[in-house]
Amino acid sequence: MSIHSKDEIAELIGLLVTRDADGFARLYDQTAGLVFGVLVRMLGSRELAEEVAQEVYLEIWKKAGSFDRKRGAGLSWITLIARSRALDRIRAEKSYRGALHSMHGAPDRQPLADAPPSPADDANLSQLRAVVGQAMHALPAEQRRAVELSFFGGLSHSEIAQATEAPLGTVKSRIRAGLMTLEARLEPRFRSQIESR
Amino acid sequence: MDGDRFRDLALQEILTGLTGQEREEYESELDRLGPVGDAQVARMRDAVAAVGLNAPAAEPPAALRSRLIEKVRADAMAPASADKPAKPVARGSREPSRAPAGARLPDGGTFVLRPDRPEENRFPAPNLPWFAMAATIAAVVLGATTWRLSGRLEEAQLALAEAQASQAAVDSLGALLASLDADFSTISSPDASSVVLTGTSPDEPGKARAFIDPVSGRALLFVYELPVLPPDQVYQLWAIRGSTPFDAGTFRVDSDRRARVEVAEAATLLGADVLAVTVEPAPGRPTPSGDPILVSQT
Repeated sequence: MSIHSKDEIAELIGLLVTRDADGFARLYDQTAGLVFGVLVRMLGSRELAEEVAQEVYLEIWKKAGSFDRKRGAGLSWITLIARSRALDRIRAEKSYRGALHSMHGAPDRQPLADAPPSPADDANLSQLRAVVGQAMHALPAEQRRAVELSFFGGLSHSEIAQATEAPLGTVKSRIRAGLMTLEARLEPRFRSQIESR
Repeated sequence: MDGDRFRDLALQEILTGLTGQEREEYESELDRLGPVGDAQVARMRDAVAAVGLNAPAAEPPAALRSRLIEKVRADAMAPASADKPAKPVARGSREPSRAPAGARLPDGGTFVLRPDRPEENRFPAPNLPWFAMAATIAAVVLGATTWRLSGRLEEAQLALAEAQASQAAVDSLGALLASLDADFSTISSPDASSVVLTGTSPDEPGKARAFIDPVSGRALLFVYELPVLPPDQVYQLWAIRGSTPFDAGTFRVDSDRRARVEVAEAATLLGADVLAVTVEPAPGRPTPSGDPILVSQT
């Protein structure tokens, strides 16, 4: 998930292994707009997103040594850490809502919408965001909804089947087809990078 | 396994994680495919992560950057927590280390602990009969004096220990009384409110009551009938406002399955919609990871 000629984010993650705090600052500046955007979208609150973003970046700092370029791009590693920590937080709150009968439903989620380019992104990220936005927009509505429920909502295939009243097999096909389309749109941009890993 | 099945399993692994038979099936296919399978999964991981870019970018608060960079710089300056390379020690030197004599050094050498030289080698003994006799007499006199002094010292030490034990008992009772008095003041304060927490599990019901006095700023939690936890777990009290839990401290129960907890930040409990207790890994967590086992009645 990089359109840089080489995976600059992966290079910066490599600096963290040597405890390079300046490298961390550069990594933060290049990725914070994306990470914070994902967290706000998933958690529906800037305050919660700020707390979780702190956990995410400290985890990145501590676990940089576990990053493996063969398993995906640097930006993918960071994005998936942010998603996992947001899901942890959502699950913790959900269990409370269920048990306490005192919560008022899920936090307001932002409506599903195309992501506009943002001043929080650097130029490369804006370009990549535009590619992804077009690809997502081009997906059939059911595929796009299934993919978004899976990524942002953290729902399992069977939960999506229940939420969309579609058979489980259909849900799996929709997610697979949607992500393969996305992969195909992204791939020419970073095929050489993956193959050179 | 056909390609679609493999892709479905890989996506499930990336998005929610696989368990049981599906995981075994997936790993077996991944082994069979080798680097081709790894590359395919890497591309799928990138595609999944790309969905995150469909969230609008958001500018995080500037304070977050400052806070993080400050923490990271402090951590980078601190000594690494991993085992530090040990300093090589010169052969024959006395290294105050727990390593046994003859232990291997990081550079591949060894160090050896040599016994101290005997005293007689340090000072040549005078070879005079009268000197030996005088030394013997002096030793006997000194020995008798030392024995008497030693006996008196032991008596004094014993008396002191008894006095200290008595004083400690008095101090301890005084502290207990002061604590009970403070607890009674909190519980009986006209401004205090009390909140009952009941167990959520029919097997381990448990119960607790919190007393919160906004005037004195004290809050107490009395817990009953909770199981004693293993050392790597603690009970953690949460004050929940809206949908956000705030940490209000951790505690353990005694062998009678009870606890008295003085909440360090009583203000945390004020204005809470709900109080709850969870079991967390020691020494506690910033956010709850499990379901509550005690919950206040709403």
